[in-house]
Amino acid sequence: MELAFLSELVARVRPPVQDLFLFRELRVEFLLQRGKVTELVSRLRQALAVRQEGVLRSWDATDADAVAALLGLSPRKVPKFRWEPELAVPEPHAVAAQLSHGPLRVALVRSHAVVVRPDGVFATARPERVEVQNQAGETFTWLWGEQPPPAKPAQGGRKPPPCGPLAVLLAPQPAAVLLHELFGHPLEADTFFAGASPWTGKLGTRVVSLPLFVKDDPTAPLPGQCFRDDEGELARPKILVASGVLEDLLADRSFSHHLPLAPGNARRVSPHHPPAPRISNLVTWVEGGPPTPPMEEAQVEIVRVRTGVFLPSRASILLSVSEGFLLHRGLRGERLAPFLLELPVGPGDPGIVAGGGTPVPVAEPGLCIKEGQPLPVGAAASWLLLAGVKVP
Amino acid sequence: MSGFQEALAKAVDASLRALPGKGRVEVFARQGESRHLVRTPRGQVVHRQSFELGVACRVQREQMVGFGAASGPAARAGELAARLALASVGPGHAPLPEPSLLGAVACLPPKPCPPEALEELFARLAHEGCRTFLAVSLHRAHTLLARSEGFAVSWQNQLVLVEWEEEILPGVRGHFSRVVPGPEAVLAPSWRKLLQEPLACSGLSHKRQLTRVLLAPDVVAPLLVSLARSLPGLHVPASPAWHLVDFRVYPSSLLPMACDGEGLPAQDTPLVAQDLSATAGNPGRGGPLPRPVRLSWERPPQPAPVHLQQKSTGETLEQAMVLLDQGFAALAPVSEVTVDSQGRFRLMAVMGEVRQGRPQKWGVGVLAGTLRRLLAGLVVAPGPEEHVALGCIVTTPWLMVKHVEVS
Repeated sequence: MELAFLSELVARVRPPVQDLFLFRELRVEFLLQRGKVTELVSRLRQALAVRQEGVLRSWDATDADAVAALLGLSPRKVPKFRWEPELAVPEPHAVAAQLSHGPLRVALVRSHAVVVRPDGVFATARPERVEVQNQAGETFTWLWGEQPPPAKPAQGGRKPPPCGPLAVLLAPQPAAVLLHELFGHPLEADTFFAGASPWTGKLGTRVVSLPLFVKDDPTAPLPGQCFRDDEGELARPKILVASGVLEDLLADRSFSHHLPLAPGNARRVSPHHPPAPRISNLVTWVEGGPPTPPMEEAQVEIVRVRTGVFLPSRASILLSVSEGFLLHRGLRGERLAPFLLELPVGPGDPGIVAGGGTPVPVAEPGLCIKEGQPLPVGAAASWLLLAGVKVP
Repeated sequence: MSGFQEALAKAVDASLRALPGKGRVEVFARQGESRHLVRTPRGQVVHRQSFELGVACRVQREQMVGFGAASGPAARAGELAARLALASVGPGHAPLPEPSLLGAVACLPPKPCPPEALEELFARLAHEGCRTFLAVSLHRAHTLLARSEGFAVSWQNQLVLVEWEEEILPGVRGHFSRVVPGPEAVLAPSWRKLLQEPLACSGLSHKRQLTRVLLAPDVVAPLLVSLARSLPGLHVPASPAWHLVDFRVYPSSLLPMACDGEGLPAQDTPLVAQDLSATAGNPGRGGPLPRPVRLSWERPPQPAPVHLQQKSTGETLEQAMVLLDQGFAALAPVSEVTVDSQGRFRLMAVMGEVRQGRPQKWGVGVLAGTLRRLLAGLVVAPGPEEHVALGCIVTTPWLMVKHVEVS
């Protein structure tokens, strides 16, 4: 890639340029119905952004003229360049052949990006991924080439859930969503220092009595995989919670300039949005936890949740349960109607009383929205047992 | 020809040139410019400016249609969109409308808003001090839709969007958005009036009950969007207080357009009204569906609301509180509003318990119900109408609804 001249150009511009971000993404989308590909759509987005102190300017083009316009230079000063080969349109039938007969909305996404800074040019390779939405609107994301999930709609029953407080067993999917909301977002540096995290001021303290581990791992073969972040920094695994103790935060370069935090966690949905600290792939486990859950200790088993949200106003995590069962002496009973489940996140333990030690990949939902920016995220989790859960 | 029109014409021309004799072709090109002023929770002010140009192309060969879209420099984007459309030709897409159906209505250009007006608005709102996050943005777009048969129409839009976070009660934050034609039209949200009553945030009783609830515009807006999307499946007589219209035509709409997403003349669509056959008198057919629009240049046309407006029934907020007498007032959502496939909605909101027309105590509670009950149970639609941005624009007053579940 012959972009070194751009780095030299960027270094000369005043006010100083933090980075130049070039981005290209190709999406092929279709409806899979009775095994047939219909409503095929192909979309290509390319854009460029320049960041200076307190300013972000972006343009829907990645050529020399756009670079000159955004850097405030004469077009003659920026030679024409090619920065990546054009993205080839993927073959939809190859994806369709791996999935059930549908109906499913399927997207195959290829993208690449380059960060140009005064100190160098950094390619931020991204893996090809598949996004699927089923009839119920539930989304699933995985890397192309990995085993696809079943993507079946959750099945709610008619039985209302018992009133809390309850002992609840979470399968890996709801456990992943819970820990994403409980430790993922609240340990993103911007949320943490804005005072919108239950963990603000508690770094280095034990918040779970179990040996719980929460690791953000951008190198894992999951949908949030990247080896450089969107500021060009090396993306490395980071242990956020070690044996129940809050250890670290997800940070971008702006936080690492002022605080003893390693950068490498900046992500953006497109050049039109600024990068911010974001989760990539959250891998969670309880050290020494048994592989099978203690079903007899729970009153309710949650198999699938649709969304999770942390509510600072109630100091609790709210999960929207889409599939769950009553448990009678460790055996599944009636299927429960969809309901909201609330886990208080008090000053002490957030009610996690046991967990499994072997995380498994979770493809649902695979997308995370923060401040209007949806990004692919991965997760691997095991089962969790919660106490003191409420049904609002 | 302005710079915008020239770029769009180049894009369209490049698409049509790339597809000579390939069947029926439609090109949709949009160029937009946005300016944002954002005050982050850390207090930093960030200026953002973005220029976007996107081209979408639909090509029809016999009964098969392909859709491709690309952004980039005008001519390059036009050519790429055409190539992608050609590579996507297959079954499933709706055919392009017959040329005889194409047409446009008048859509006058908006009065340009100078960047200084945006900065003044930002300074004014930032000075109020109650907002923990504030973003003010000005969006301008030029759109051109053309067909290979010789039809072409263009129009312009401009909107000011305000988004902010605010502490509604001690420790309880809400996220709000307003969309207005110009900076002068930004007003304080009407729910603040009710909070001026000197009451402590003492928390609500969490006893589950079916009761009358007065819903503020920020609570109503997501429910109206869900209602508009679900109307064809709702076979229930609507309350006479309903007057819900999807506005698209100048000057009624805040986002007017000359034609819809397929090139048919834009038209307003009444969705729910007392004398409307769609829901009350013609239950076998279901309600009307708005004509397809382009939610973004990169998506095929699809039926969706553009500017939903529920008309006020004329009462003031104070009169509505007296009419409510006993019940709840829901000011703002603090969670996502979930609506399942059966039309059951559920959300957490800042609510006040009302007795003898006065709020007694404030807290956070859960509101639940069904869209059918919302349709049948509307009592009055009082107070000022506010413009909420939610992917589409929702202009709505408060709604007083019977039989809402509160817990």
